[in-house]
Amino acid sequence: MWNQPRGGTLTLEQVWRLAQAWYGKDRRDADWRRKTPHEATAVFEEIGMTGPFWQLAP
Amino acid sequence: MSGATDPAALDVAVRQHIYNEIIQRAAVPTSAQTARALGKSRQEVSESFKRMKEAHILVLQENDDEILMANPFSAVPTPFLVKAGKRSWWGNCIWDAMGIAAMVRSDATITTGCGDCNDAMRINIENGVAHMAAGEAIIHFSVPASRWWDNIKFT
Repeated sequence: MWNQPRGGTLTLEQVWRLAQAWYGKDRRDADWRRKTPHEATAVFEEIGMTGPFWQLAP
Repeated sequence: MSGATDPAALDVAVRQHIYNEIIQRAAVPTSAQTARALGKSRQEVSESFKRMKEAHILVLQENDDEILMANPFSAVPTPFLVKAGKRSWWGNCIWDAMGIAAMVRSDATITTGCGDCNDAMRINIENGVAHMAAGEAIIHFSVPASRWWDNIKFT
């Protein structure tokens, strides 16, 4: 990104997998709940979002 | 629905109403519309909105009364337009725009612009596969994950 510090980069395919993992469960279901940090980290790791930039806790 | 309601049960009913309205009618409901639909007072619904804001389920507008984001959907226009059949929505970011396609379980087209050069970009979701209409793409995240919720509107 011009004039911006380099952040994290993903491919289109990685973001599509992330979107499906994150939003595939229907939020209209009564038993839907947010992912725990542990569950979210597992999703990130499965997609290849590893390293300090993607860690949920500082 | 009427009478006293357990807050957790009300939050489920409010959440279901919000997402039903968005997915079926492509319209983010106001607190007054939600209250009318559920037979609740506007104050009860506003309190529910605020509980869901604290739980990072909703992002509210600056007045703290109305929805700005019911992720992955945005209540206001953004650079991420998602079309599926005759319905269309705004996503909060490219992750959310693709999340809309995942949530509505439909082929979809995302119209956006390159975050670096502003060139037009179109992403098609067809039969469960995402691909650029032309060229290639890389997705850039500016804010590290541990700070996303410091200011989710900026993120």
